[in-house]
Formats: sequence, C-alpha cells, structure tokens
Amino acid sequence: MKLGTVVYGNQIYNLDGMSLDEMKLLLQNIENDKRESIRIAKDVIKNNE
Amino acid sequence: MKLTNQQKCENLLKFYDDSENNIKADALVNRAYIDKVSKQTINEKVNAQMNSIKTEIYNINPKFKEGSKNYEATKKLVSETLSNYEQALLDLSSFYDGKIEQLILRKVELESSLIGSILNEEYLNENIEKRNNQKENDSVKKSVKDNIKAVIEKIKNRRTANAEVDPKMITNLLDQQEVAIELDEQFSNNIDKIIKDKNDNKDSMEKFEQEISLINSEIDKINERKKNSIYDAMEIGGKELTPNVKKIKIFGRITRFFVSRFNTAKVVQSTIIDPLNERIEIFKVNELSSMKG
Repeated sequence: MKLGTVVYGNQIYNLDGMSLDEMKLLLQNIENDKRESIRIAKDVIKNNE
Repeated sequence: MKLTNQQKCENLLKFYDDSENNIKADALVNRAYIDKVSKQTINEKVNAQMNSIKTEIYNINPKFKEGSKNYEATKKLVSETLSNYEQALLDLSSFYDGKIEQLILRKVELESSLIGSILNEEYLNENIEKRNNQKENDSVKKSVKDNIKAVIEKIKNRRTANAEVDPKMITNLLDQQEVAIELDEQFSNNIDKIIKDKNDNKDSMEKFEQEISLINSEIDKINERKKNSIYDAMEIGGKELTPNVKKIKIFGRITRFFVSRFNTAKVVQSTIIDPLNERIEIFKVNELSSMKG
C-alpha cells in the first residue's frame, strides 16, 4: 500500500520515503504546532473577555 | 493590549485554517506511521524466519547450495510457506491497526469539536458583551419608565379627584407599562443563560483536551502491543524471534557421505516446512480467530 504524501508547514512530505524516526518527529512537530495554535487562540479570546 | 475586532477575526481565521490543516496532516501521518510500524516489524519477523529456515536446511545438508537446480522445489515450498506466514502476521497487524484507526478518527472528531468550542467561546463572549450593554440600556429605560409611572400616578390622583380623565384609560396605560417592564427584565435574564452556556463550553473544552491526550497515549500503547504481538506470534518456546534453530540430532551425527544420499527436499519438508505450516494453522485457528471474535 502506498502511503502517499502529506503537505504540512509549506512542505511536501513523501511518507513512503520516510523512516519511522522521521515520521515520529513529524508527528511530534504537528502535535506541538496544534497545541501552540490552540494556546494562541485561547489567548486572543481571553484578551477580549 | 486589547485587540481590535479585525485583528481578533484575522487571528481566529488563521487559527481555524491552521488547525484544519494540522488535524488532517496529523491523521494522515499517524495512519501512515502505524502502517510503517506494521510493515517493518513483519519484514523483520519474516526475514528472521527465512534465515532460520536457511540455517535449518544447512544443518540438514551442509553441502546444499541455494543456486542448485535441486533447490527449486524446496525454494518454491519455502516461498509459499513464508507467504502464508507473512499473511498471518498481516492479519494480526490489521486487527491492531483497525483499533488504532478508530482512535485516529475519534481524535479527528474531538479535535474538530475543540476548535468549534474555542470559536464558540468567542461567540459567547461577544453575546455577553452585547447583553451587558443591553442591560445598561434596560436599567436606564426602567428608571425612565418608573419616573413616567410616578408622574402618571400623580396625574391620575389629580384627574380622578376632578373627574376629568377616564380612569380606565389610565389603568390600561399602567398595565401596558407593567408588561413592558416585565418583558425587558426577561430579556436581561437571558444573560444568565449565556453565562451558563459559556461555563458548559469551558467544561466541554477540558473534556475534549483530556480525551485527546488519553487517545494519544492509547495509540502509542496499542502500537507497542502490536509490535510485541507480532514478535511473539508463532514462536516456539521462548518469547523471542527464532535466529537459530535446534540442530536435528539424527542429522547432526551423520557423516557428509550419508547426507548427500538423503533426499534433502523431502527432509526439509517434513522437518521444517510441515511443522512451520502447522504452527501457522494453529495460530490462525486459535489466536487470530479469537482476536477477531
């Protein structure tokens, strides 16, 4: 099964050519990014309360 | 520094777009990652089994050559058995991957709900602000109405005394005013409902975040369980891959002269392939079918 590609942070990642460690790192980066953007959004809302 | 409405909207719009992309990317990479873990673990296991078969064959006949024409039949047999072996492992990994897939989908659902709740929080804040402004207006209106009511009361007393104004008309006017004040109060009370909604929204956000974090650790756990389960599958004795296989005693003692006179293909089938096929079948019938329910 082809894993294909994914676009993240203005870059295209070829999932088939990535090692497990590279994928794990990418997952970690996405997770951190999600947390950070939620934190910022909450701050924006709090700022206007 | 308080943000302007436009800055706030731009920030939240960016948050929505980024979140949508991140959720998609996370689900795709997560799915690909579990697939890669399965493939890599299965390859490792099948290679170890293949090496173990080779070792066994050389134990049976040290003179046996892989390039030899005599090896063709055995090669076909080994290849078929290993495909069967690999398929059983793929079925096993699919069981775990299916569970992880469900968790990934649930995570997407929860993360989308979390984004929705964060944006809803802003909507509720705006509503509270509007209502607060409205409430201020309400109290001004109410005091004006109270004043009017008092004035009308005075006029009423005076007029009834002189009997120049119809008292029914004044009473109707007062009733209407009472109703208007009551409606205004109800309108103001809506703010309590919005505050309650806001608190409920906050609780939901906390619940979503907690469940997402639990799902993340559960995905890691199942992935680890899957790897161990693949390593343990169809093993005999100790819970480790079969790097070496016990040398078959009877053949360990025979001389090279005798070895070359055995039909190696048949011996390989009866001492290596058949027992391995039997292990595969037992695994399929017992462990695999009980897992699938």
